[in-house]
Amino acid sequence: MFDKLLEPGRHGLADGRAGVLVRPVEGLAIATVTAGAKRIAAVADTLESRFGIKPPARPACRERDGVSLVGTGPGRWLVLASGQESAGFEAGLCCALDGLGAVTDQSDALLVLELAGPDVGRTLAKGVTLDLHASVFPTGSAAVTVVNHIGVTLWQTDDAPTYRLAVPRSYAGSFMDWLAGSAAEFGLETLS
Amino acid sequence: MSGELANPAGVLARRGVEQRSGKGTAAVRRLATGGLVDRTRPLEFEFDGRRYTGLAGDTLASALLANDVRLVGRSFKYHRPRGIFSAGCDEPNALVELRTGARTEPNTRATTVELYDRLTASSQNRWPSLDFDVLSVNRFAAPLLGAGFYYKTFMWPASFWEKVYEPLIRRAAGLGRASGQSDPDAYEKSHAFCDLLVIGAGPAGLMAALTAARAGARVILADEGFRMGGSLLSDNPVIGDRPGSDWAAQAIAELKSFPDVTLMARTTVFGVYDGGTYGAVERVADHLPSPPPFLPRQRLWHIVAKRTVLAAGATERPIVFGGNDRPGVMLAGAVRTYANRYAVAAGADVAVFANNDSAWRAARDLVRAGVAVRTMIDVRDTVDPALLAPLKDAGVRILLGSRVVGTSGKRLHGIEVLTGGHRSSIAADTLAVSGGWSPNVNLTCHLGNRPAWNEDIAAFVPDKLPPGMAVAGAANGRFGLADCFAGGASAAVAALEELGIAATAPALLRAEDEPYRIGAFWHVAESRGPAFVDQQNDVTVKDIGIAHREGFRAVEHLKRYTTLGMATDQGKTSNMIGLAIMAELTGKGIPQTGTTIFRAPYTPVTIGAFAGHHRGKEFRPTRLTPTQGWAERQGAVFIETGAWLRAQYYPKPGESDWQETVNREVRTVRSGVGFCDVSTLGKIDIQGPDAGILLDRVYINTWSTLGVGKARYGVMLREDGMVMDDGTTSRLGPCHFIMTTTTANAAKVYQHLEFCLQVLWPELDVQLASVSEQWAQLSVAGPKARETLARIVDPGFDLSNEAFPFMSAAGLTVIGGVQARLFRISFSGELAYEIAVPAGQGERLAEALMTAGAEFGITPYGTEALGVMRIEKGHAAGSELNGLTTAQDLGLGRMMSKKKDFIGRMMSQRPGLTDPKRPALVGLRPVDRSARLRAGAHFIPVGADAIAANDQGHMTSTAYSPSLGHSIGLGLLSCGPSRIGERVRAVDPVRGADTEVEICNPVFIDPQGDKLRV
Repeated sequence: MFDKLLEPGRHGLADGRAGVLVRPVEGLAIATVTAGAKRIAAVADTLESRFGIKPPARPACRERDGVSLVGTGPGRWLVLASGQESAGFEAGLCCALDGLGAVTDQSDALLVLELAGPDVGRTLAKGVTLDLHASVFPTGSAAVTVVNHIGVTLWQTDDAPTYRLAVPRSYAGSFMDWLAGSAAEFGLETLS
Repeated sequence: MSGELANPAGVLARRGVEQRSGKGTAAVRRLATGGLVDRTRPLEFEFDGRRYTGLAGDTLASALLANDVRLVGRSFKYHRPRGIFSAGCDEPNALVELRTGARTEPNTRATTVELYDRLTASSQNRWPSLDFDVLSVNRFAAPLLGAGFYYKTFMWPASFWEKVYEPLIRRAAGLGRASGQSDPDAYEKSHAFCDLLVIGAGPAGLMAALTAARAGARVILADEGFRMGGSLLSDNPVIGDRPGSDWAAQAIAELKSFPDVTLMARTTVFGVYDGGTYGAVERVADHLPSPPPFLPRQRLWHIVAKRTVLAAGATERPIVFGGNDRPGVMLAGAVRTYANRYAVAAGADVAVFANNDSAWRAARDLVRAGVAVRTMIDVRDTVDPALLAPLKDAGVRILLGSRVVGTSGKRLHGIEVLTGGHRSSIAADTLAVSGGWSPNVNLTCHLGNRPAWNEDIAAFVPDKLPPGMAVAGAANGRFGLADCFAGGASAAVAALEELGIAATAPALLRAEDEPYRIGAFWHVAESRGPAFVDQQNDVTVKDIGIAHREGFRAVEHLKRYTTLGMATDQGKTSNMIGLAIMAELTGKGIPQTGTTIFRAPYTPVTIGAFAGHHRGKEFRPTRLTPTQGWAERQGAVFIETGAWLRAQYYPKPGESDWQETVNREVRTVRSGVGFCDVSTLGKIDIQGPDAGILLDRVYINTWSTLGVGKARYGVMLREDGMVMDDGTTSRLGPCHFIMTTTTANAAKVYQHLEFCLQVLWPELDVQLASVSEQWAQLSVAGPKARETLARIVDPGFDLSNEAFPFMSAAGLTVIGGVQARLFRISFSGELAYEIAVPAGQGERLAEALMTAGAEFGITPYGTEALGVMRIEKGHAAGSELNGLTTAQDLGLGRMMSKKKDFIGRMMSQRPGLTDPKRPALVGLRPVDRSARLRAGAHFIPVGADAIAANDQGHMTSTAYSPSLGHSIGLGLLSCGPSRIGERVRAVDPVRGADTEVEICNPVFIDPQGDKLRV
């Protein structure tokens, strides 16, 4: 899917080191887990015992052993697991939660992109209306926000900084158009 | 005496056409030394087809003046010759067309255009040439064109307005022309955040930014100019023992060393918005012939600042007198700026006319720079002896208690001065005028505040401020340099203290701090000739008198009646004088008269900057279906439906038009099998023990009784009783439903359900998730649908009518283990299924269906065939679910449960909504079967006049039905269902159609629904 959106290689400014690097994160099983208002703690406990990660109770991301939990709302998380088959992952999670919360497979719904590079902040500023300065949005922060009129979930994975963005599948082409245009002045390197 | 003229001998005598023509003309008015221009970097430019040379660091205005080009435009109404008046964004006169072709920018202020190599500009509003303009005869018609002339002169006859008056006025008046071509350049938007936003990089702004930067705060310093420094560059003060420009450069270098300080030159903060949000436009590439690759021309910034220091400086205003618009009459501060910053002598024989001390310092600077100042005129009877001395020493003739009453020359060559009752003529090619300085309070007023009058400086100063804003320096009415430094530092310290950031004011700098005294004086009553208050809109003192006499005395009325301050400069140099003259006429004081409202933007902003990337196809994002790539390979034709791009139809070789293709697609579905991507429908995953209760409350029909593995059609209402949306929802498990919505309302319905759960019934244990993106859903329809599906469903799943009847739903696997959901639902009226697979498998499913159905002649079909078949089946869609229809109107009234409550139930019982005369859904067919029906036609009784009073409803949807062989329609007709068999006319005045139609059942095909259940 991704290679149809943007050719691998260099885009925009061709000289020097690319200011922005983008890489699709493939092979992810993705699900939303939503707890009923009275069962948030029970669902959080279950997730913690299953993944060894305390689910964040705020817009934040926590990661361990290839599993990331992103808090996207009260009692609501986006769970991403690398190297797992989506239907099986969803079924296993359903089984573990045993009716405490809803599990919904989103593995095909979201395109997850990893963005890094010296100019990633200046590029994201052209679409993200949030303050991504390290003092405000440090590693582990997450946000459900809008870029170029497209709803995205965004989180920071390291201090480089490196960001991951989950973009709805139907909008992926328009998102890449925005990214390519916004990063062009810095040079955009598409990694596979 | 630091500078002198580059060609000192006989400048006056040699000034003329021969010097201005030809390539590489010497810059005759460039001073030999001084200025902040780079003499090693000459730049060639062209104005009105003539070539000149300027220097790097020049503006177009300073370069024109350096080449002694004094006439640069013609005025808006009277086509009077006009020259350069100011040195900044307040310029009313020197508006030029910059660049050529598609990049032409009309009404560009020459005073703010940064000179670049091979710049091309031309004058505006003149024909055939700037020097000789035919329409300058307009000035003889000035009595006709005075204040309110639009309202008075062209009142009668009304029919003349569009055809005669408006074209006439448009040809005669106006400024530049747009290129009429698409803008070849890009624009973009960006966002920035800071602790402290400093607006203006003059002495107060630089000091505020330095104070905050040293305290470790996140700082943005924005300045509209291409070189930061503000008055430090133009007034050439001494700080310590160095020029002010050196100090500015050092401050900027220090600011650049902080990682959390952002310096934004060429950036105008144009508006203040709620929550500490500021709009700014950065001119990224306006100073270049064309933007470098991958860079936008301009960037619109959305800056969110915790605190702001406004250090926007002040704008000089003139004194108004007869003939004050002649080229050569300039603001004194501008003449000073041209000498100090650009090393340009604005003229060879300068006179100064003022009511305040700053003009005396301008004169002193001019003398120091080697510009010939011969006469100093002040309306005041006495001035500080300290001001007199340097001018007296230089031999300047000083006339106190005097005023300029008139001017002469096409380009100024003389002034008439009134001194002690005597009028005398004085030679001058430049008159530097100053009526005092008005603090730039604009941004303090954008959230609705009004400035306060300060008698001491005869100016409005900031009063109540937007939250988080402080004002420093000249913008606060503190004109002294030491005041600016101290004010900037203390404003920053106070702002940061509120944020919990400790900051200390830098040690005070030793700076010249000269007093500013003014004798308020607005216009010369004894003037000879028209005295212009607003030069850009040609509003004279006399026009203000007319407005007063005719009752337009409030400042906002004055503005609209005379157009004072309504030009592109928004009256920066004229509003104050206009309201002061009105205050004189009414006898009210200036504070009682007040100012007009200051609104954003501070200076004009290109509309392209607001659009950013959102142009053409990128106006908004496009959503692609999971089978987009596959459909492209099939040669599908696509159509935009909302944000989605969908396959409209799939033409085959030999088909002559879309209708032929659509007819074939419909016939194939009705006789064999076809499939269509319906992934665009909204899909909402609803889980939890109370899911059934939620559905009972949002849908008009009952859901909690729906069996697992079953689907049902549902209608939901808005609170007001009108239909909101419809769709099928299936029960996948005891606590698990999957809802579908129409494509158009997918987001709205999700939002509605969230609202219900979060606000109305938080006690319900229900969890929602949108799965519209997760599933590729294809509708497989036609008598051969089951046989086709049987070939892709994995073994073990029984598709038989007994095992999986109409309105069944199940999870299963297809094409060898792909997770799928199957729903036996039909929109086409045929035996049909909707099959959902994870979106990434959508194309694979399409390919599998093509193979599986090949034997039956399977066809993919698009939105056109989908629409035809739904009209044939009388299903309501977007044109009928238009927000004005009730369930009853759509023939769905019987679905409304009487055993439970639901959203919209109460309001749907309002008399107006239960009126049997309301237009309700019917089918329509032309009496003459060959006639074509058109959506939008109005229903009029046969024999009645086609007037609104006889309107009985309208045609909502039409199609050619290949199944019936004629045009069919759906419509909303008054008492419709009880009139089946009657005839009405479908009248379409827009397209000139008047067709007799027969009212019929809206279900044209298989009204019993037998085909669905086989």
